[in-house]
Amino acid sequence: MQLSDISYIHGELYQNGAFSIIGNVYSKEKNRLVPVQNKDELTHCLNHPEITGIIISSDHFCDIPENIGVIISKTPLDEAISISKKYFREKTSIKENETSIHPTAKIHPTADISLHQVTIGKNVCINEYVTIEPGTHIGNDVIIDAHARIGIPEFIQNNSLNSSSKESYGKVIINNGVYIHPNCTVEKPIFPDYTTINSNCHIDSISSVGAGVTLGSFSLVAGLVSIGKYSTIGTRTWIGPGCSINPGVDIGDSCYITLGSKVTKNIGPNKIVKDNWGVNREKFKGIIP
Amino acid sequence: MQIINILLKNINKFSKRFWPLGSFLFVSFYIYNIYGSSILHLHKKTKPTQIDPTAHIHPSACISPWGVYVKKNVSVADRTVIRFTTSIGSQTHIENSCVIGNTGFQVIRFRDHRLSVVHTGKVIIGEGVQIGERTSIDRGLFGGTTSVGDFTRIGSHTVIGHNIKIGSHCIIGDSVAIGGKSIIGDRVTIGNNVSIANRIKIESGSTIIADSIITRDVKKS
Repeated sequence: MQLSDISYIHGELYQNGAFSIIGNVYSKEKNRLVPVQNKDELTHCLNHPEITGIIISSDHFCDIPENIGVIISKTPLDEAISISKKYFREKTSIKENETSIHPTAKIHPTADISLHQVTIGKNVCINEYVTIEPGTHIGNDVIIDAHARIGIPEFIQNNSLNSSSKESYGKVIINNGVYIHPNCTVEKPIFPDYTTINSNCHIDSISSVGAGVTLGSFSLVAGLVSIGKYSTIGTRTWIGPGCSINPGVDIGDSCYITLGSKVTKNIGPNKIVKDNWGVNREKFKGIIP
Repeated sequence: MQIINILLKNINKFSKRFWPLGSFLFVSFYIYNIYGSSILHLHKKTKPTQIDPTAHIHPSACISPWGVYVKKNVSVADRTVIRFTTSIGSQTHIENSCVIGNTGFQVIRFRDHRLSVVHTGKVIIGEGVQIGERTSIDRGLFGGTTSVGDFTRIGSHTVIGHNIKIGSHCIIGDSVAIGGKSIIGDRVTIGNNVSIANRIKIESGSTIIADSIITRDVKKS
C-alpha cells in the first residue's frame, strides 16, 4: 500500500512511497515502514534498500532520496503503533488470556509473575525475585535463577506524555532446557516480533539479550555480554565474557567470540573473532575452556 | 597455568573427532553429578546456620537455613540471596540484590548435549569486605573454595567465577568479569569494564587500567 492511502496522520506527509509492513529499524523484513530517532539510524536506513518508508521528527531531518517515503511527526513511535493497529489489526491485538502454570513447576514465593499471557511448562524452576511480564512462553526443564527480568519492553525514545507508547506487542519464547543465571535481562520488542532463546542454551550472569534476538540452540553466552536488537546468532557458538554485539548483526554457526570483543559486521560460520574484526585465524593464542 | 588450558583445548578438539573419548567424559560427569548432589544433601542437613545477633539483615533477604555462618556486625541489604555453605566474616557490608553461592558456568559439551556440572564447594568472605550491588559470586567446583580476602572492595555488576582467590586490600571496579580458577594477589587495583580470562595469575601490587582485556599472566616488573 501507499503512504497516501493512510487515512489519518498526526504529522504531515512529505514524500509518497510504498510499504507492506511496519517494523523496527534493525529487523529484516522487506518493504517496511520505520520510525527513526537518530542520525545513526537514518544512515542505517539509507544503506539498506529494504526500508521504503521513514517516520522522522523535524529535528533529525536531512536530504532524503526520492525512493523513500517520508512522514514528519513529533512522536514517530506513536504514529507507527497507530498505523499498525488500524491496518495490521491481527498482529497488534492483545488477547487477554490467563496464565497457565504446570503443576510440577517450582516457583519461589517472592517471584513476580503476571496474571496474563504467561505459559510455563513442566519441571520449571523459578528462583527468588524473578519478574516475568506478559507475553512469555517458557518450555520444559528450564531453570531461571534469582533477580532475572524476563519480558521487559524495549526502550525506544518517544517525546510524548501518552501512556499508550508503553504498550508492547512482542513475545518472548524460551525453549526446552535453557539455564539462565542470575541478574539477566531478556527484552521484549514493541512491534509484533519474537525474541527466541532456542533449546539448551546457557546464559551466564548479568548478560542482556536485546529485543528480537534469535539465539541458536546449544550456544553458550558468558557473563556481562550485551546482545543488541534483532541480531541472529547461530547454533553452537561461544560468546566470551565482556562482549558487545551491535544491533542487526548476523553471526554464523559454531563461532568462537573471544572475551572483550565488539562485533560490528556480519560473520560467517566457523570463525574466530578477536577484538574488532572477524578473521579466520589458525594460530589462536588465547584461552578457551 | 596456561599449559593446562592448551591441554584442555586439545582434549576438546580430539574428543570431537574421536567419539568414544567424548562420550566417556560426558557419562563420567553425569555420574559425578549424581554423586555431587548426594554429597550436598548430606552436608546440608548436618550443619544449620548460625547468625550472630549483632548482624543487621534486611527482612527481604533470602538466606538458606543450612550452612551459612554470619559473624559480628555484618550488614546485608535488601533482596540479597545467600545460598548454602557460605561464611561471611565480621564487619562486611553487602549491598542490594546480590547473589552469593550460585552455581558457576562449567558446562560440558559433547555434540548436541550440554550438561551443567554440580558445584560442591563453598564461598568464604573475609573481614571488612564491601560488595557492590548486583554482583554474583559463584561457589567452588569439585570441593574447592572461592575466597575473598580481608578489606577488599568489589564494585557493582561484577561476575566472579568459580574457584577464584582474591587477596586482601584489593579494589575491584564496576562491571568486571573474572573467569574461573584465577588467582589475584594482595593490593591489586582493577579498573572498570575489565574482562579477565580464566586460569590467570595476577601478582600482588599490580594495577590494571580500565577497559582492558587480559589473557596472560600479569607480573610485577
